[in-house]
Amino acid sequence: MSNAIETRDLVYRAGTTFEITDLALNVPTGSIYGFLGPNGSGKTTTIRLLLGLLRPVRGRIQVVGRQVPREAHLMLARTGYVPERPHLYPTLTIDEAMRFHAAFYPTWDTKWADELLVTFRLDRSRRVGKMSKGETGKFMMLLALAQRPELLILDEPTDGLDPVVRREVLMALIEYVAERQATVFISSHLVHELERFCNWVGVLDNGRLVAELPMHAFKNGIKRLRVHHPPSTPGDTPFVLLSREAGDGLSAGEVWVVRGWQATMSQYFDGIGAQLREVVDLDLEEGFVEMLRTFRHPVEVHS
Amino acid sequence: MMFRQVLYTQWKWSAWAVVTTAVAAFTLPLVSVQRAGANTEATDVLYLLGDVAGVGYMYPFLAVAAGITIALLTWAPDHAGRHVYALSLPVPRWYYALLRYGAGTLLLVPTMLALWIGALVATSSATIPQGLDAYPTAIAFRFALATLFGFSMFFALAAGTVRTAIIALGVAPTAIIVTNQIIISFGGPNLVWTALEYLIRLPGPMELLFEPWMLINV
Amino acid sequence: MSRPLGLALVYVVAMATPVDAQDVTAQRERVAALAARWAVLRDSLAAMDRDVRPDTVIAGRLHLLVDPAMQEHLAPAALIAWSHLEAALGKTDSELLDAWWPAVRYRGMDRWAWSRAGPGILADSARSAEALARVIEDAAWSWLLVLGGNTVVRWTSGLHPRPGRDYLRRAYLELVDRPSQATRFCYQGDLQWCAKALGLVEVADRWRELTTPADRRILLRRRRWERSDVFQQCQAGADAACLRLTDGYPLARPLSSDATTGLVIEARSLGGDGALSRLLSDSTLPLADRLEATARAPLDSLLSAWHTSVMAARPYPSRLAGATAWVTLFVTGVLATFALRSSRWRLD
Repeated sequence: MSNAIETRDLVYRAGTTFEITDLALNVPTGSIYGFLGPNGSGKTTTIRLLLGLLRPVRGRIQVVGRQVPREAHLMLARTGYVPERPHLYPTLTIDEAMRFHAAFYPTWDTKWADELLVTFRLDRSRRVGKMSKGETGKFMMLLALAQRPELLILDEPTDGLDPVVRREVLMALIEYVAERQATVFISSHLVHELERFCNWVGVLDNGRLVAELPMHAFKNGIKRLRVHHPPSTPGDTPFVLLSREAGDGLSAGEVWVVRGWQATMSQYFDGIGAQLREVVDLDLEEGFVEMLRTFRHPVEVHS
Repeated sequence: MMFRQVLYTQWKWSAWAVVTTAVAAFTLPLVSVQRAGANTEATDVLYLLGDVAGVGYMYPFLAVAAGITIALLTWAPDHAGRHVYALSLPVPRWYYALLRYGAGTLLLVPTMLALWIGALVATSSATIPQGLDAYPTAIAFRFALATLFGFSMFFALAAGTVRTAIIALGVAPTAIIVTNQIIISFGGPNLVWTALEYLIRLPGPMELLFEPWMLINV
Repeated sequence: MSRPLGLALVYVVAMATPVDAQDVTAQRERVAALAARWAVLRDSLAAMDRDVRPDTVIAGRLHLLVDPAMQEHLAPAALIAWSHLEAALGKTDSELLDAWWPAVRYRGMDRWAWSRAGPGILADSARSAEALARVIEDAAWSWLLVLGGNTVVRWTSGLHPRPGRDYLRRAYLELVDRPSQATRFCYQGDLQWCAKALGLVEVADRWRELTTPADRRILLRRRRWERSDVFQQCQAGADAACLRLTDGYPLARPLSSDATTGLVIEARSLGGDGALSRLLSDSTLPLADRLEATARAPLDSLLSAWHTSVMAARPYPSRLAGATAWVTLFVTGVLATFALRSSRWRLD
């Protein structure tokens, strides 16, 4: 499987405190890639690097087969971008903004753009600067979709939108992806939102890629285990022990959070004289939080 | 197609400025000639030339003002959006800037033409003493060049970062003030004034602005 | 040098010159001329005696009495000056310089040297040979004009009749901007009016003959200090009031020394070899006659040629010079390139 986005050894510094370090992203073609990270982790900066808006200190970026930033304009012709904040010219009307945008994209689909206008209930004569937040979000998604891109890079596209608008925007996106088999790279800190439709996930924290894996592996692989009579030193485990904490006090034992869990691994506890009482699936958000906590404090094992 | 849309957006942003400067450009030669005609008798050529010269400084002022206004209005919306939209469009950066430059230049044409027409009307309706001539085309051409120069200078400044603009606009006045203080305190040649002289005399780039602008002259 | 010794020298020089013995008048004139030359030489030598011990730098017909210490410095300057003078004066007229032996004084030696000495040169050892040459040339031209007496000097304000377009260009401007019917008709090619405007023809009342009522009103308007009723009436259009104001207020010749000097240049150009000598030869003749002699042509022909040259020298200050346009376009192109290559368009 080829990658729509691929970075290697990517380094970028902003000021003296923040840097993106050795970022190696692999976004498979046709995937819906959720790019997770807390606020300030570098998601927007990474996206700007991918689009050629920023120049990396070092490293290689390839997007839809084009080297960035050298061939950024060729890449951008095949990429739809919805930025975090509105960036359109506020004095233009929706109609004027569409005509301006269309002039730069040879693949612009006027008919579909008109349909989306109706779907999103947007008024052509309305000025961009006068639109509500919801209308702005829908209009930016309209512009990105109507250019019929192979790749959509969406930076917090639903941030601040009400649930109804968010649903409309995401539905339009999903329909397009289903029809066109396009790749979507979507950043968000709203983890539960991505959980529903992403099939790949990458987690960024403080400019470093913490994990990158298929969504099913992410969701299935992280478990919370209730372990009774654990040894003080667990020794070599067949899974990755992310954290270890004392129980809730009512029951003896500990709560372990592990990654890479499989059912057959319960035999491990028999070997060390402990008892595995419960295996709990974590949702994406819980797994995300646990993953970040482990990443930030890798030796944090409470007894 | 791209150029047409870029031109349209710039027109929308700067229509008021284009109209205002065009009206001013059309009026200026008329005012110049009317003032000269009202204040002088046909045989008092020196007075007439003095009056024409008195209005003359308005031409480069208007030219540069028109250029600056259009240049700043060209970039203002992109600056407001921190250039994210412009930079995310699928064209090379220089090409986008060239589209904006071309559109800005085209929007200056009405002002240039207005001055030319105004100068032609003004001079054709005036009684010009013997030995003098009207230079409507020469002054219009000079005005066009000055407008283009002002536009290009501020287009380049506005196209840069705020830091670049501050450095460019701040260096010259600071250098003049510092040099003057040094000369007042310690004496020595005034290199800044020498440099300024080079700017306003051929082959300096500003010679065009500082030559006398005379619609009617010998 | 004592007076008897000086007279003896004049006599020897006069006798040494091969002249026709029967032409007593010519011989007397020659002696008188030599005596005049001697007087100048004597004054220069006397001035030099007071200031420095002189030596002589000779370049062509230029003889400069200089401080021996500065001889080496002035010699190249004198050569340059002579080459220019010879080219400008021609063979015959350059002989006029034979009578001129200026003493060259230096700054800092004696601040009163200039005022005590006769026509000489104030030089500066710090200046280049080219600059010193210009000083020598200027002094030579001034000397030549003085030879012709006061009339020519007053008429041209002492401007040197050296070839150049500036005099003609300024004459054109005067023809256009002077409020006088003389200049206006002259501009149209009426040579009689040109002669009046140039001061070659006697005019009894310049105010009445050379100006119209409108001209008078404009000329008198320049008396901005005037607040009298007569002045107000004049400016309101009463010409009688204007004429009253002109009493005791002489009107200058409409065309200035730029125009007259230009005419002398034109006369020299027409007259060819020896033109300047003819202009300066007889200071008793009217100017018009002297100019005809200079040009070897009737005054009308001379004025016609001058008028043609003045019209041809018309300046066009409002025309845009090609260099200005190209420089502006070049700078504009450079600025546009800066914009296209701006750091804004490169990635941060």
